[in-house]
Amino acid sequence: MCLLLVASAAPIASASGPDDSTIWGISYDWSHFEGDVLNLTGVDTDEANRDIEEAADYAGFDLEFDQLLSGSSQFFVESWDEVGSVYVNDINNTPHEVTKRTTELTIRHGNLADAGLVANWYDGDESIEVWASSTQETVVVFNATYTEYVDQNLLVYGADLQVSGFFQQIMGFDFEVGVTAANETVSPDLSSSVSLTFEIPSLYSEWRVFDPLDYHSHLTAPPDGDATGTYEQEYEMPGWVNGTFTTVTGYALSLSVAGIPTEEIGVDIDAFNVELSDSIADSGVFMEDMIVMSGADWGWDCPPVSGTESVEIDGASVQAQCGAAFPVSAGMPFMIGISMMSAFDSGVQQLGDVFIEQVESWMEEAGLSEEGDDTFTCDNGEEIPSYWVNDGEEDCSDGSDETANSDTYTCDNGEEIPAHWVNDGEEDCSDGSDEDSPVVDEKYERMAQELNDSNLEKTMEAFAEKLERLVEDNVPSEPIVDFEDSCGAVLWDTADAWVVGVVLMNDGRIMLGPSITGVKDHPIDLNVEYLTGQAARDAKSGSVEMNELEEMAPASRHNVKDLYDILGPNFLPDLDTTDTDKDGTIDFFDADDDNDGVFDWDDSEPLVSEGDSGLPGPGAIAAISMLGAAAILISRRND
Amino acid sequence: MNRPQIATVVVAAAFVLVSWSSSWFEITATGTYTEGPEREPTIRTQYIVDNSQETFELTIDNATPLLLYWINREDVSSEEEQGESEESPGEPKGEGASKQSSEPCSGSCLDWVRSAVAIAMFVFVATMCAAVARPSLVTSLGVITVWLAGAIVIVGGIPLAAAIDFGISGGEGDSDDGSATGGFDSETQDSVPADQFAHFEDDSVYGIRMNGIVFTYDSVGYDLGLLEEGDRKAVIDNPPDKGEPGYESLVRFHGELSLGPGAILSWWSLLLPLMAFAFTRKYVPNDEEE
Repeated sequence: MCLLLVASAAPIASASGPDDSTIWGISYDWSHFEGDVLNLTGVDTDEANRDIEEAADYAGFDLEFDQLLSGSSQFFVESWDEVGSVYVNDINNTPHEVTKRTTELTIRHGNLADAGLVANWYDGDESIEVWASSTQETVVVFNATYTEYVDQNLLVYGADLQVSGFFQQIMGFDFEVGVTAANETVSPDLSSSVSLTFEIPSLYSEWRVFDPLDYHSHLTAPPDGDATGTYEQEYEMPGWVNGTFTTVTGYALSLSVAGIPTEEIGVDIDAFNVELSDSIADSGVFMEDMIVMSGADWGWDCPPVSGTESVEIDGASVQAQCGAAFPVSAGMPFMIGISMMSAFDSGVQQLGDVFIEQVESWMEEAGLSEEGDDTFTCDNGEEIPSYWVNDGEEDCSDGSDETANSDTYTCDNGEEIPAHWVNDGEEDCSDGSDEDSPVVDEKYERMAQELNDSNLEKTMEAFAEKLERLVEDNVPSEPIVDFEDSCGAVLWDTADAWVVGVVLMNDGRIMLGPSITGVKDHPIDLNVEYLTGQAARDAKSGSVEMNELEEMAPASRHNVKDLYDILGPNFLPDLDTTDTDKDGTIDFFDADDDNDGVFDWDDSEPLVSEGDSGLPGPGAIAAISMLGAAAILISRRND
Repeated sequence: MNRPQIATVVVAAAFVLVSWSSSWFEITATGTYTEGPEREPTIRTQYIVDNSQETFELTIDNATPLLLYWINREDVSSEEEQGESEESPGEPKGEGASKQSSEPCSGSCLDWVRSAVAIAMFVFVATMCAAVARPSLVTSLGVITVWLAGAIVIVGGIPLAAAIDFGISGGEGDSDDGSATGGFDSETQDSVPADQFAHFEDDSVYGIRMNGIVFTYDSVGYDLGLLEEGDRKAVIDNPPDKGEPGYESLVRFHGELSLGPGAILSWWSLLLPLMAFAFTRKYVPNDEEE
């Protein structure tokens, strides 16, 4: 466990390739997401928010809503041939002289998302107040180094894989509602959060073949010399993958409920907090059959990109074949998939078991389970699920599953109803005597009646109608970008079978990808950055250092001021109101706390240390102690 | 009043305020499955009463094996017993109705106690003011009496009110029906009675510590609900040893429960030295006068 902790604390970094490696990647800043959606679809999300608020205003209630997204994603594929040959044994222990082809996959993704809504409706003494806030944090850190062993004809004899990664998803939801009607108020608060974590401190695996595989040849020459042909091949039993791993699968669920009228159901609890958590650490070895499927379409049509194109990388022109193929060596995704499935088998399996069995249990309780060995044999020999018996419908063709007609219940007022209607959650006797407990408490019935008599329903109808009209105005009748005119292609070097990049086209223009001679860029400028050559190498070296969410999605860039204005102090109950540069904007909302012209997320020292004494503030106990000491000292002095 | 007297009253009022806003009564329970479910899952529960609400917290660490255990175990009570248990919901209904009508404060005893504590605290500060301003034996005795009354409510009244509100007063609860096996039946959403275990043994110890009453409970047995129907008889007849079929159903549980007053008692107790200080000062001038 100690080793695991030490390993997990170590920075997850990957080696970088040589300066002449083939590299391409994509980088995106999620704070541009709304702008990009506007550019692509013509839908203005800010306008949509204003539409919602305007529709509410028109309908006669207050509603404010906003959402915020920030963070970044980076994805890089770097490949290179290592100099010099080595010997590798196949499964039959036959040595082969080979060279190493290494591919590094680097993924960094971290984003923060928040949304908030406040709505207030009232009609005379009746009112509904809603306050809701949701938050989401996502982080993905993934490094895979895949070293393939190939001979001079690019025949594959196996590969080694090293993976490290960390995936975390945290979601939180807070909801408060206050309903006042019939001189009664109900104000439940609900707060929940879910956190899921999958961590791979280390995973090493090795794939060795029975016979060498020739899938690289799919990228070096077209099938049968036909430059428009397609390769498609599944290799049968291409060897075994064995490896070692350490993983941690964790989750934490929490639910807090307060303000529900529990005393009315006989429970004397005002606030209820539940937390479930687990962290399943696992380590071991695995051995699995390898699977490889490969293919390449040389005639892939993504006009005007087709056939051989001149791709610009670092100012030089590189001849690349355009087509459809794996963007990495065909063995890599399969080896990663097999290795990770084996590594997470234990933890994920346990979580899956709990989830599946609990859902099955709920379905059985709800009578929705199609399975189960409980069957009912009809009088004519037919078999039906037992929960169909006495369900009010004749399921046996002879009707023998319904005995309720002869089995009746007599209400207190003398009415008769089918016996299976008793205690079914609905009052079927007009005096309600078929239900053990009143279905709806009288108090809530009165509240519901008052709300029903108010203008609530009309208000909601007016809101929906107005919103529909406003949204119609906001959404352009013709799409700005017609995605039906989009296509993607992979570009590879036929000499060494390395993929040099990918391109996404729309309407015959490059939307995302490298510069290609004779092909124009798309007029819509998206904030997705396609990187290749030295620019990609530089960006990758920066991203491999990032292992924490704060580095990929700095809190200082996630300015929740607008949400705070809507949601109020309940949104940030412990808000630190320090304003270091005294510019009227507290540090928490200030992008440049010390006003030195450098944004906090780029500033190694975002705060001015002068004036910071470091002394803790007096707490309540300290204050009381001081008062007590003062009382004693004053009295002694008076003596 | 002179400055020391004012300071004494201010400090007393501050202590009273802090005691009012601290926790009043706490029940903390920790249970660990030391054998059976993997990785010793631990359940922690806490029930806290304070000046405005009752809070219940449930935390389960290493929850997965425990959830699997609860989901996988089968209810092995006989049909006859099941019939009884199905009938039983009707019985307590009548009892519940009569119980509710016989409850002294209609299920809101804690609200009564809150009022009592508020009154005790207010009267304490008032009598303290009087005792400091007009020092005499009567006022001093008044302060001590109010303090004692407050202490009695804190130590006895709050737990009693909580117990009555929960309906566990008078020993009419059914918690003795094997509910402390540590097992939980996901089908009935209830604890598992001991008769679903073979070779069941349990042991409990009570003790009094500084923080209240501590109850320690240990149980061990073969959970028949984890075994196939055909394998149960063999386990009932002969407890399997480690490595033998059926041993995997062995469940060992260790639990600790402590209940006692919260921080309110500590803060309320801190008033004692303050009272002693104030009353001691009162007598000094009297001696000098003599």
